[in-house]
Amino acid sequence: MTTTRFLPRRLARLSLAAVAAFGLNACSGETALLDVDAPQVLLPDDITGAAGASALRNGVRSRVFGISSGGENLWLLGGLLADEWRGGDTFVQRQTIDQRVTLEDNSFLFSPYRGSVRVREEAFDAIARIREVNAATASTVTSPIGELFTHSAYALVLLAEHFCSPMPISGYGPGGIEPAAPISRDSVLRLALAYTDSALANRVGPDSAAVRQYASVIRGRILVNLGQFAQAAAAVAGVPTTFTNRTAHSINVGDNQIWALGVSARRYVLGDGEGTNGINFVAANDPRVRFSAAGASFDGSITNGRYPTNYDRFSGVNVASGVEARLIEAEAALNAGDAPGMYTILNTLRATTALYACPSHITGCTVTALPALVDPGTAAGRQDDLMRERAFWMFGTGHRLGDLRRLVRQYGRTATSVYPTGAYVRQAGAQYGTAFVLPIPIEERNNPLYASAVCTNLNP
Amino acid sequence: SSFGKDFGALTLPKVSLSYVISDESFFPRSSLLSSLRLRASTGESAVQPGPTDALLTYGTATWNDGAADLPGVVFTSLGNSALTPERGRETEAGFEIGLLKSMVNLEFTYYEKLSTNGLLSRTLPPSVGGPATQLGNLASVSNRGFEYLLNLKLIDGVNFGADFIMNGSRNVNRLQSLGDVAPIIGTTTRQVPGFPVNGYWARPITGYSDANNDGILVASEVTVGPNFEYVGVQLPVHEMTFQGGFEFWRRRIRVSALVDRKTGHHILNGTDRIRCESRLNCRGVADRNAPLWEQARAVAVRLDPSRTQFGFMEAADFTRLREVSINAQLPQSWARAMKGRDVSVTLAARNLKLWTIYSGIDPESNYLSGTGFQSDFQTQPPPAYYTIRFNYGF
Repeated sequence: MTTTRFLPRRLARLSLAAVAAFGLNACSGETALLDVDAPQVLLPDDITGAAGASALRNGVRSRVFGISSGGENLWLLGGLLADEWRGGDTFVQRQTIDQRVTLEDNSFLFSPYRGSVRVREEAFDAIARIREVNAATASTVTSPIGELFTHSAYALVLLAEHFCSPMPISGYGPGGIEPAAPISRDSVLRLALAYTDSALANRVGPDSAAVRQYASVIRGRILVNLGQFAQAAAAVAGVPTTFTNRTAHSINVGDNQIWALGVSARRYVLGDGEGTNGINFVAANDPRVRFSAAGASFDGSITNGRYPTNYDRFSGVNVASGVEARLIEAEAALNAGDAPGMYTILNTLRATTALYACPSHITGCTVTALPALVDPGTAAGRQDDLMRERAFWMFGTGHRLGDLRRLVRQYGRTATSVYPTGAYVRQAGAQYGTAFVLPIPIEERNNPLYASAVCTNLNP
Repeated sequence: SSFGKDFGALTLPKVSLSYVISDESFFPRSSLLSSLRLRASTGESAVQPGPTDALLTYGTATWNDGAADLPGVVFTSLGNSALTPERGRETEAGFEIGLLKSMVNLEFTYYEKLSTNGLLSRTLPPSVGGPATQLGNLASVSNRGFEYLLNLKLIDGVNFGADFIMNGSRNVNRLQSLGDVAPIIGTTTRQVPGFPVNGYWARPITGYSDANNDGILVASEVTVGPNFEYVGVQLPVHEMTFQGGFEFWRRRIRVSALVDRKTGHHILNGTDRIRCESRLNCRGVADRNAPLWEQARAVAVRLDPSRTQFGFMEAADFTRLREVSINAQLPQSWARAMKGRDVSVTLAARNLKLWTIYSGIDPESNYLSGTGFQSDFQTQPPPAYYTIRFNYGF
């Protein structure tokens, strides 16, 4: 048998009153009790004025940093699929990319794709804020806008060079996400090209020249991908060879990931004739890709691996450069039938030792000028020389996979003569697969406009 | 506010009824039946999202210009201005019955719960270029099942006692709807209406055969289905505990044991998966005498173009001797000497023995501790351990 105890009547009345008071308070809409300061939460209204616009711009720059040498993104993964790197650890996500059997459910694909598109999305947010500030202050300085447009173009060209086509470029707005249907690689490139047009039209300000040069190099890169070589050369004509747009590292922003995952952690091993067709980055002993003494990879599967040493923990890396501009001009010369012109450009670069000077962190380093290239006299030989020069000058900076694709798409090579192929030495009995590009991440199937048009064209 | 800007007030009614029908004069008296309580209840509850989930927010970032670190701001959360509470309506009915002067007590409850406007993080397509997920009121989830408790006082004497308790539950979970959102697809789990939340999905191994009788499976001897299929649920469907105890020496010494059993669920054996797929040191790869099923799953994950993890999504039924303990009530004189009411000492040993069909080290190894979902990935299993506890009442 249970007994029940009741509150004393007075206490019960008091309790009911307290409940009623709180209840009425809530019903009346009074929210003063609920107002709480949350300084760690940044709302759109907290980011105002010139300071807010500047902060958003720096945020975009940090995103570009993240998709370049600041993160394990397309610079590294693209090089892993190509011949710049071999996998040296136990992560199956890296191994399948290295082996060219990667699938859409590879969890390493999500961040690079998202990271590239978010550069564009956040750049547009920053552009809008800068324009608001300019309108409010009657400022005519537009070079930050030009820089942001160029960042957007750069992010899209990375996507176009690395992922399966067609690919979606969606976005988000005040009403929520805005899914988009997939578009072709060339459409992505033309969108990026339009961004460079906007960049070049918005560069009034103290860093006008830097914006022009940056936008010009990216524009040239896009045009090369579109096979418009003469236009590409014209785009970069005014870019000095000494121009660089570089990432920068520090304790706060993070380590150089080429260093971190390469010579430091040894998860990425320098390629050396990978899969028969790969470039001999080690055997060439080229000052543009200096490397360490031989050592075991992270998992010990590669006992005599070499690791690039031109970058240390806080070294910056070129996102775009005047060297790239010269290489674009060289390729234009090749496609115009001007082989001597191409070799003049290439050999001028090779003779300029300042472009591959010893980094201060490598003790006992000496520099000898690279010998001049000699025209082999054949189209294939000249193409090989050009692509080899591009591979060394722009090692590890997200260009190599795009170049392999162009060798097939624009220069008529067979994929099996360009990509690593044959026995995959890290696994007994295994062979390289047939992936020529990175697949669209499986998470994109949550886009209703993509789910019905999943990218299966994995050709270059 | 936790909620979107359009949110107002919330009403959560509840009503319950309990009826000790055995106390009624019309209820037939029986030496067998000591008591019978009937009960039922229905009501609604709500779950609120996190305090900033509804908000579109930014976060800080740092960028270096080559000379100095500079502050920046980046977009971090889309928020959701339409966020409302997740609501659940649950109805349950059951009874409590005492038999043989309450020497036997049985409780039983059947319940059905339907959660609507379920708060679920929707995976955003990477092409959106925003955050990876967005919280929304997406899901309608049902949970139905029953709970039971059997309590037996086998012996209730002055000097000796024995009791046995068995309790358990069975729960079936289903994602009823995601509204107008497509199934949420992850690499090994999916949210698909009509299936349990966070179910495992994979391309199945449809067959394997040692065609040349050499005892070693190769890629051509293993077949994998073309489409992803549902494999199993992550949370146990049926859970039971069995506890028995004996008391002796004027019931001052109690020896008891507790056994746990959980069935109906799957675990992704991530430890063996990576050993087979990457490190090449799992039995299915390294031992030519490994059973064909182990070889087949290793071949499928290593060499089949699908790289399917199907073979590692294993049934995880287990029974564990969870605890054996001895509790001794010390003499009252000792307690009084310590100015206390009573004093006892308990010696206990936990996680002593496991019986399971799971091929991994332990079905309770959990890499994702705190999420509610088990994931065996190079994680230490719960250890056996021994305790001595001194209990002082005052």
